[in-house]
Amino acid sequence: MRIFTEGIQSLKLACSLVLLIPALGVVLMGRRRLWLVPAWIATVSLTAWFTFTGWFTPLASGPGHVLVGIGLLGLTALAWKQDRLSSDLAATMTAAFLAAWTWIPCVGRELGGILNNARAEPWAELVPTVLYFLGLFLPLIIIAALDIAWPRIGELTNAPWVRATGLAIVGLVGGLVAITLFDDVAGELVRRSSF
Amino acid sequence: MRVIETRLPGCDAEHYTLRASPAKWPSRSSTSLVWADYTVTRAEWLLSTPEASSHQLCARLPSATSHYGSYKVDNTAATASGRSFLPHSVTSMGSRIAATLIVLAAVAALLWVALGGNATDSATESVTAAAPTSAPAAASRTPQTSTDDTSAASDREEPENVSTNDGSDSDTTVQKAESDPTAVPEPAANAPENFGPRMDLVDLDGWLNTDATSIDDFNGKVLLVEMWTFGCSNCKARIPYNQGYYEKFGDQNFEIIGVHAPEFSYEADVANIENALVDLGVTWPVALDTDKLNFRAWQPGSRSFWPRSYVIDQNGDIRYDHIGEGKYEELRDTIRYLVENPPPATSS
Repeated sequence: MRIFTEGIQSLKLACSLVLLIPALGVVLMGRRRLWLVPAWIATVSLTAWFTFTGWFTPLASGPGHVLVGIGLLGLTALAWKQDRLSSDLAATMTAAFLAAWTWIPCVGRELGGILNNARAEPWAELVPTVLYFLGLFLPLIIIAALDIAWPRIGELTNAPWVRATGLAIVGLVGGLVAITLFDDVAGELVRRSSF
Repeated sequence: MRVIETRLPGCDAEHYTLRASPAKWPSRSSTSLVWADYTVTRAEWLLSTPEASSHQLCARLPSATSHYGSYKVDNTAATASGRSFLPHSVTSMGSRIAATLIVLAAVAALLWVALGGNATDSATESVTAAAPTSAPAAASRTPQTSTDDTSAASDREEPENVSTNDGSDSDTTVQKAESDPTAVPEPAANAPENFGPRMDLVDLDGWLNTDATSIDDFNGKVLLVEMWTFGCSNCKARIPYNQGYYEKFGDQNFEIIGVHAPEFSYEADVANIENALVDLGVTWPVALDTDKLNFRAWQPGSRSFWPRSYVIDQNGDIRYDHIGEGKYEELRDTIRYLVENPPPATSS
């Protein structure tokens, strides 16, 4: 439970912004949130867990990073054009992977416990890692559940312009990563909101 | 505009009923409505059966999209409905009730945390208030390295009694040491693990709070090297503890080096860093690692985190490595052990 609450607390950390900006895009893409939100959380959790355990260590910079950014840009265009579950999922999971790869966490007490133990006991830290991200992405879960709970709200949040906004954000993230400026833009948002 | 999928009498087993509400064509300019790859023409629409407040017609849908196919309305920006993108099963009343409960529980959890109703948050807050005095006070304990995290709350609130309420194994470990305050553990048994020689700090953009120009200027001292940035709240939560260590061990051949590795560009501005050092009460040397070269070199691969703490012994070997907040007691004991039990000098 502590790790879950620390995940919720991390919502207000500037370090979490690189995860939350594309997450906002994904949730705005809409209409298929019932699949997209779980896919987002699962992909972020697994990528982060692989990083924590030391099984995935490439630095989030260089040509590979740029290529994934370009790939996300292309997948976003495809999602826009096709408007299908498969293309939406592809864009979502690529964005999630990229976000988790780019993310350098500010580590609290509970997440620190995971990180300090993840190399020694990787499997023991998988569930806590997922719990942390369930807390961090709790607003996404609320929005996805709202679609089912109150269809009227779903109708409002599924308007085409909302989807267009979501895809634009995801595409923008891909573009900014491709030109290695994503961190700077996130930092500028932090600066403007904290000074 | 709302389109849902149902099986209604009048359509055979292979066909679904498309039903749209309100009962009108999306817009005058629309020529067709595509749903689940099935295009409904205006003519078909007009021939379909008006029923109650909706129109319906039978359509054969591809099996792969029979439950949640995409649809769009040509030549119009008609609003789309989310319902048609959900599996048929989740539109039931039971699912709606379950989803409502999830929403309520999640909102309650958010509010609970926002209002500070959890142990982690309250512990973090009390770090700031009490650590500077309690951390050094508690340092008089026998050095003991526990194997699990000990509640820092007990470390602060009851510095002379580390019994905690979380029932972790570490409590037992520390309590054993507490039971006999005269017991001096064997140095070999309690010596912190040696992780090998430290790395250098290279290509720095300067130092603050010191005349030193290199980490080598601190050779022969016990060093607490901390990767941090002033915008990171978890890093800031450690500062009161560091102040405590500095106060307690500062005259015992101990030094803290903060390696400032900014995450965002505003954290790289030296004037902002200097202001932050004053505001946060950071009085120990700070190395400016603007390009995060050392931040990454000390934490290879993508396993780089804020904050991360290393304790370096008098020989330049890493004796402690911890990611994130917490384990303040363990860190304090490591420092204390090293200042009281310097390792034999090595030729290097």
